Amino acid sequence: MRESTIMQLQYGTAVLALGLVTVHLLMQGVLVPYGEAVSFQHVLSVYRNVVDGALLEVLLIVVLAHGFNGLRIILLEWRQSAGWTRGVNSMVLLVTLAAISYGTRTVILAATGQVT
Amino acid sequence: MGGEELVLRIQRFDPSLEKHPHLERYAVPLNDGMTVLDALLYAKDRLDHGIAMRFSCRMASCGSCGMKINGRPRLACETQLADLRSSTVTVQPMDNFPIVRDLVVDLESFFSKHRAVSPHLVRKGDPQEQESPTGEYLVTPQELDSLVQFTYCIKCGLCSSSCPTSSTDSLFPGPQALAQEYRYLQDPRDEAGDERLDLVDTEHGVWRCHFAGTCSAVCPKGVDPALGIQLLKRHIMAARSPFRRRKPKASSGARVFPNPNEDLLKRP
Amino acid sequence: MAVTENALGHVVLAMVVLVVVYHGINGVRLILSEYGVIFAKPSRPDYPYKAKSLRTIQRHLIWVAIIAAILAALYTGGTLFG
Repeated sequence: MRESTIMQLQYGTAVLALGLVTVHLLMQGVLVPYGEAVSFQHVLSVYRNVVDGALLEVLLIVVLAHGFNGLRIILLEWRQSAGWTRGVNSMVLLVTLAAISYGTRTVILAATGQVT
Repeated sequence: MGGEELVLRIQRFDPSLEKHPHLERYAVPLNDGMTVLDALLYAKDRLDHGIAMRFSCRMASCGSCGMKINGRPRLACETQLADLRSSTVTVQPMDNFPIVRDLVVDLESFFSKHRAVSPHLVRKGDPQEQESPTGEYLVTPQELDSLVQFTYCIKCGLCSSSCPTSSTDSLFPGPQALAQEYRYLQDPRDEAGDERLDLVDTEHGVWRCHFAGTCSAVCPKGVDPALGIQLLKRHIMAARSPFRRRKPKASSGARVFPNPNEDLLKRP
Repeated sequence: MAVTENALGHVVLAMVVLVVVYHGINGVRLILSEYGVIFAKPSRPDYPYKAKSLRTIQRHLIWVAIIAAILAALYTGGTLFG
């Protein structure tokens, strides 16, 4: 994948993350009092709502992709060698997919009521 | 300023003899209009012949005397001591380059990165025209305005010296090479657009610039390499966007007009 | 989480908010600059050679980012401690 394509994804996820975080904070931090917003039962109810749950899932993917790609860029600027580049690219992709999988598992468990 | 003295601190370092650089102090009499280069040459001429430095034109045209002066990359020949407003001036070699000796740095990597971006016009077609030109390739004033400031580069290395990415990423081309890449990309006479984009659209290419802007802040000729790099990114985004309009490849932009002096050229 | 429900945790969260808000707004500045939205056109430089890229609105956005980050961190601190 060309670096310009990766950077377009980076910018796209950045803008999407900004928008989704703003929506999330408005819904959970402004419309709902803070104390209630961070209560366990309220958080579970957010996941059980289809729209809110989907928003959180998209936010998860977008933030992890953006964050780990940023880490990849930092690591590539730190050291330069063919082996290091290959290793960083592979590890970051694996870690990103693993983190997204684990986060999605959490969202699914919460959304389907398997967490009480 | 007459009659006063300046304390000139010069970084001295011979890698073949020493492990670490050190600063040596020299007392230099001040005169009106004196530049840092004048002070350095006084110190070299009268106080310590062993000071190693590069200089040549003395008029900010050759780019030889790039140094770090009071912590900022500058040309020594055009930095007035009066503008520094300090009785102590510290002169060190440019950052991000290996030190050869004292104020002289190894610029081989800088020039090799410049060569790597093919800093010349590339024509793919019309070899006959190259061998036996029948006219000129014209550039309109508007086309010239889009690239002329980037042609002012004197390859002094100050921009690369100040670039934070260049200090960590040895494969990063640097602001000078990237600005020159944009200069040739914008030139309507050049026909290597796709190859130029492939060269910089890489993991260690143009995208590793994070727009700190220090290159443009220190450039002594107004090249504004940061502007060139951001415009290069914009060009790549437009050229490689999945939403771009697919239109037939435009002509090279080179217009060959018959040379009115052709008869003169044919005379022996 | 009990780990963050103490004074140190509140300070750390406020710092996270400060960093995230600055990173977000600075990122918007970079995106707008790199897509050429807030950029000056190249032109022949004249002495004293002040770079156009350092004089456009994008430099003011850095200050917007800093101020917004500080305000967001203060708001967060006030909410958490209050």
